[in-house]
Amino acid sequence: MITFSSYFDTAFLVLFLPVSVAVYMILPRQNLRRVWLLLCSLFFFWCDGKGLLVFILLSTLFMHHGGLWLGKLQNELDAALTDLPKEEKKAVRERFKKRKRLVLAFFIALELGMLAVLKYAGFFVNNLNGLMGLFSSGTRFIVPHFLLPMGISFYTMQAMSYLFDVYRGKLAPDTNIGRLLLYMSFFPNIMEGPICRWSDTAESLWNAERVTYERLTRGAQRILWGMVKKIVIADRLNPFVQNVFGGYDVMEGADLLHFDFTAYPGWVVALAAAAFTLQLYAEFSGTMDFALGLGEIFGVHTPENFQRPFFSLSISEFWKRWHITLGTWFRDYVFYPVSMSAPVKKLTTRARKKLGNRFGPLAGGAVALFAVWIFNGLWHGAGWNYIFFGMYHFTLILLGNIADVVMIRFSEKTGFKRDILPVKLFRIFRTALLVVLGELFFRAPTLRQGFSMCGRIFTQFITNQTVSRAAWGVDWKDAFIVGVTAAIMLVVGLLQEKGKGIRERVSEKPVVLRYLFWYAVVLFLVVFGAYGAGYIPVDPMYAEF
Amino acid sequence: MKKHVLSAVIFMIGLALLLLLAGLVFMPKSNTKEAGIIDAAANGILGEPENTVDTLFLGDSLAYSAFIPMHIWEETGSTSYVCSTGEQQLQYTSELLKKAFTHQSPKTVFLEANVIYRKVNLGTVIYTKLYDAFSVFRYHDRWKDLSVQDLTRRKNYSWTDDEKGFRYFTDVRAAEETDYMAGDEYASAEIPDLNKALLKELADTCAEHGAELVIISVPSMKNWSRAKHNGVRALAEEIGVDYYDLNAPGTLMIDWQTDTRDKGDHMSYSGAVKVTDYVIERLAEKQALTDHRADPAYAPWHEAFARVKAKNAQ
Repeated sequence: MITFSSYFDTAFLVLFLPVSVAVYMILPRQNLRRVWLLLCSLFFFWCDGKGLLVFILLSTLFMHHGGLWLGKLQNELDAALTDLPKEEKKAVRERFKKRKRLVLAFFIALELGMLAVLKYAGFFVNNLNGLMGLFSSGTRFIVPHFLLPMGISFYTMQAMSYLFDVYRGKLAPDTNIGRLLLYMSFFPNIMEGPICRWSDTAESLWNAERVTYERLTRGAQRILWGMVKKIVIADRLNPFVQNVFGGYDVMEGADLLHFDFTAYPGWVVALAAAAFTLQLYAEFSGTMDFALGLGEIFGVHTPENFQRPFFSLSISEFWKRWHITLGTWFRDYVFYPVSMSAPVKKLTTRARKKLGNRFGPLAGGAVALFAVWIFNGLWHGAGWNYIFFGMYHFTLILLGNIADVVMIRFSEKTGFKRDILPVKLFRIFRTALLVVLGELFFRAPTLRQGFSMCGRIFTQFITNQTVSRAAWGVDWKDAFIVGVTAAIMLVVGLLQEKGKGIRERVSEKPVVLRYLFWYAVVLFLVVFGAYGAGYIPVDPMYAEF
Repeated sequence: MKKHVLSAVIFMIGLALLLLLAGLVFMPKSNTKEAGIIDAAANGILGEPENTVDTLFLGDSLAYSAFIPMHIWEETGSTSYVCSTGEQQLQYTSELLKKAFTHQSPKTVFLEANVIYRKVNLGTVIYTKLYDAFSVFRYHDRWKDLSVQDLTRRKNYSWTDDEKGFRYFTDVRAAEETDYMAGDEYASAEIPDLNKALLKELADTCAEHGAELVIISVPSMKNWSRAKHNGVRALAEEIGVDYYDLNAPGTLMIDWQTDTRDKGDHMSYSGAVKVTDYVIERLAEKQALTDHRADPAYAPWHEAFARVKAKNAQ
């Protein structure tokens, strides 16, 4: 049977992708193209987990009914307000607001409930059992293990953003459940996002425009670039990262010996953390290039999820450039509501009085930021290392915000310039280092191991241990090719930062040069890609979240 | 629109030619491990003189641990080769078989049944076909060892394995005797549809080349069961091929104290001799044994046999 482990799976690349695009291209009517996209999406989802398809159908059903109910209440409110005297309007509004809140809470609970049970039940029961163990209670609950539907964290957030927007009156509820289902299940976005918003994506998706030659070639070019990142960098680094974080086995005589990260000096552990960060970026942004390229072919407006995050001057900026759609989701549906809530507003007012106008607002912001990062950590996974990861970034952003205020004052007083190149480079390097340290905890299988690995970097950076070829998992030629490809990514990033797109530049060249350029890219991928005998491709990293 | 279709077609043709050309460069110029050939022992059959192999063995590590071509040669003068690789999957089995048929016309092809249950997905099947068409996909990793000679030298696959694909191990690790073939008499382990289709393709390929396909299960406590036996037996009947299960009680006197090299997973050398003797009997029944020992064209077999004897005696 067909299963697609990722968009880079051979069956997907050679069979599903060409068939889905080719049939879409030859279908003459818009309605047929919509139905085809929906069928492809459901088939893709079905291949992953068959019965698990029911969860995305349920999620869409809740979203549809929730939206309609909220819309109905809004219509009733509008009708009720028309004939009412002004003094009674406020009371009616309040009454309807409460009812709408209840309806919203009910459907959000349904959406979140599915996610909580399937993704977090095991984590919570495990911790509950641990807690009960502390109090010497003999009672233990069975730890449930559920299969996770593909992309549940992504489509649940899409469903919730739709419900929030309908509640806020930003969107009119959609009566067409087919349109909602296509928005939820569109196969290029289902595995690792991006997390789309209804107002950005739904219309272009439903329009199911004809494929144009320009969009087809541009989309294919972006897909190719995504494949280079994923297959040349992420997959090639996989043995090294896997060995250091997960351990490796060596046959000695008839015995199989297992070694963990303590077999490496601290500098190799640090190198592995950096390699994992590069691997994660190459895999995730490569998959995004794939998803956006495919979206481009179908004429779907899909939001960008990365904007060269390693050019960031601060952690705060980093999160505006990395997994952008997750960041904006938390901003709109957690940060703003928490910031604007009555208790936090009160806190901000008090803090302003005590700490002044510069530091005061940071207090309220800190509460909202804390809420964002606790959810962000949990969204990434049901584990203490993810919660720690969230708190790590919360602390860094909070400290960064405070330091910013201090630095602005310092600059005003001393004339110190923060925007000169050496200072910028220092800030970029510092931000990258902090990100790499955070990713070490993110990748470590447990929080305890994360701390041990971190400790090894700081206490046993250089040891007299020798690292064998088997322990490295890669050789210097692998490292060289990863370095070359990363350098190409850097150059492409610099050009993009200056607003110069590679695809646009190439498309202006004569046809022979164009062909030669793209042949070179394909050949680079085919020759230097880490696939085939002896290679295990890295699983879609964000698909597990 | 026509212009766009034309340019897309031209681009794709150019790309295909480029990949074929790259395949010529990256393809190992010799079929030795040192030259970069993948699964050198199994591919050693490509170095055998044309139409000199009478029997072919296919399968995973169970096969290369259990069938001894040099024992068959010593006992009967008949030639055979083991095209087996670790954790072999059926689509790769099929590819090795087709490759073997390009130079050889074996009368009998034994397929060790463990591969029939190894999970295969469509992606793997597709990429194996793709690798067949464009060898650059299979040998792209040779960029690490590429030299100028790869641009100038022509392909010359003349190396062959003295052991003819068999892997000689001296280890013996006894297994605790269990009645692993007991269980529900009617239980049947399901064979995935894709695997069935690949097996049928394998049978068709054999039929096209006039070879008889025979399925065989070598003794393995860790890998075989009554349910698998029933599943394969039913499939063998369906496609009309013989099936010998050496795990079936009373078929072969296996001593699990000495006949396994790794606690019941693979055969030890003494176990392999027993399995090979069983195969010789079946081949004799089928009148598929030809004695080539007096034929001067088979002199390299005598030489290889002498080398193997000397090496294994050390």
